[in-house]
Amino acid sequence: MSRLAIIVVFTLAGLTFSCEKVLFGPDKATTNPYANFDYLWDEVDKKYSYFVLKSVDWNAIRTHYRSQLYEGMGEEELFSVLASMLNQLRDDHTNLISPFSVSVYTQPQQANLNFHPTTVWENYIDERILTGSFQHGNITGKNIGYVRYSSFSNAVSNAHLYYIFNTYANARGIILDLRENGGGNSLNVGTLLSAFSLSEIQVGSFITRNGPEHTDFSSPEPFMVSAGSIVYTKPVVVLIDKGSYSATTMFALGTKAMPGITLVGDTTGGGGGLPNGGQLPNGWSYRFSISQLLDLVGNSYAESGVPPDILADFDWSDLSKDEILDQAILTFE
Amino acid sequence: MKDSRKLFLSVIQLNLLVLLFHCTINANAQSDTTDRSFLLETSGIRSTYRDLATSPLYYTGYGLSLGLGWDWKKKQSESSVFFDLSGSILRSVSPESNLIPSITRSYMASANFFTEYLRRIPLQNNRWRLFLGGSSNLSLPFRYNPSLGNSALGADPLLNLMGAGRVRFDVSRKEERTFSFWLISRQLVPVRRYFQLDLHAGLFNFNYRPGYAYTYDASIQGNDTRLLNYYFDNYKWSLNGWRIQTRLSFFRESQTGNGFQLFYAWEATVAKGRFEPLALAIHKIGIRLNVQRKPRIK
Repeated sequence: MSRLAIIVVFTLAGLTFSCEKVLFGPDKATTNPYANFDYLWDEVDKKYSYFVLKSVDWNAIRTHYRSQLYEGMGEEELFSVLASMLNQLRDDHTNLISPFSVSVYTQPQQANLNFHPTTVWENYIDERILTGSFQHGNITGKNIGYVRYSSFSNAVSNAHLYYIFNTYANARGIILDLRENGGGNSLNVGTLLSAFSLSEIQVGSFITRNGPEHTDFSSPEPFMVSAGSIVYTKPVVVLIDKGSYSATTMFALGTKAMPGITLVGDTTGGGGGLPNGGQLPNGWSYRFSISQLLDLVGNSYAESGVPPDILADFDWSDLSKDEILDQAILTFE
Repeated sequence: MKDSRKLFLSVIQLNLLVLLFHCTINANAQSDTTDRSFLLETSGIRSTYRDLATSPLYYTGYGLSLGLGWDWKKKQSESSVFFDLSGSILRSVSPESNLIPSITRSYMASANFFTEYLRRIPLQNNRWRLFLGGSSNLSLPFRYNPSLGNSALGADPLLNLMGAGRVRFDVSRKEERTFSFWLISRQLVPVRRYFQLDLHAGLFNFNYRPGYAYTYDASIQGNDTRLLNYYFDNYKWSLNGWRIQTRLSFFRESQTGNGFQLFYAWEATVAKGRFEPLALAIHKIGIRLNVQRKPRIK
């Protein structure tokens, strides 16, 4: 009897151990081109945020690109088809990432570059100072502070801002250069904007896909800027261009709701949507925008770029001059 | 968001109440019939998970787990509380490639808080003991998969109120014996030994899973944006899915009640959430030390 019971116990144990994949369902890993295409198309269909705004006919795109697939096609060929399909979204927050290649839409490269750092540091600035994530200096003979912030991935510290604002406390104002700043951590945007705000204000809002229809979005979530603990109250000019993307577009949109800040340069590159990431059945990764950044009245122009208040272009035929910086200096006259 | 947070806090409070219940009933128990042990455990683990919200691939890997707890054993009931932390490094189970394989890594850390209470079911056979009761398990598995960009972090609190069963088969040496083999001769003292099979099955399975888009553009409250609030925006509690835990152990105790157990444990969880499910399985093989707080004097 005891032996029988032991056998029963161990058989029961054997049955309940080690069988998770049977319980979890079939392994979906596959290199089949159709399975990978359909998975990616479906994920984008369910969650991408700019179909309507960009008038993208996603069903037609499926028909067009799926017809290019065939059984046994190579991985590079499949990558090319999937990347071409994603590029129809015209969105730099959309990428396909394989071990051998990364697809990019390259919006900034489709416009003129508007920033040449050597021109600024050699021809305009007395002395370059590095304070935390910022490079700054006094513009020669103008009594204006120049502050360069190259990426929102770099932390914004109040202590560093305090030092910089004190340095230019007696200046006529500062020029904050965000050209070619490709974005980064969106939480740094609120911190930097608050350094120019004496009171708490709403500067925009976010909506995120929350259903299968292309028009399904969550209710707006506010984008609030706090009153800064350190605030620069003199005039501020922000330099932007097509390379000012993602978090920098967020910053530029935020300034539209704040008095005393002027945008100079070119329209930002866009990137108003937060990209989420995922993986395909063959192991490649992807990302695409799942939200929209709206201004105070609900307009969603941020994806195509925030326009400057004063338009200016860099002239590459004369690298001794930065026409955008010159235009910014003129606003203080 | 606020409702979900309230519910989450309620669930934590429920677990603390269960712990308080354990402490109360055991503190009030007759001390002379209660074996109270401090438990210390270490094990090697093999983890597997698949979060269909971000990837159709299974991730599998190895790691370590450390835990401590207390248990109370009486003639008619047994209970325990246990807390463990584990960490493992996993890689995707990707299909073959003719170029470069897409192997991506993920890192998982998990905290678990477990309580159980079991009542003995009378049986005619002295070598067998059967217990039935309930248990609760609160798990916080954190996963980090850098290849997923803004969806890299996965954190899904799981709470399971479970039915529990325990079968124990006694193989104790009750009398002193002499062991002799060739030139070796040893006196073997009586020792308590038994095999035990534990089975826990979720009856009420709660999980706190992401919303439709997984990653959300949550509100930004200037400098006061709280990262946890930002991350968990649009997470919702759901009552669905399932969880099973099994554990096969061999116990050896000295006459003082101190001892150890060698065990193999397995658990599988599916947290369906409201959209795509998370499936998680862990195999553990390890040793648990039982230290009597009041050793028996025989």
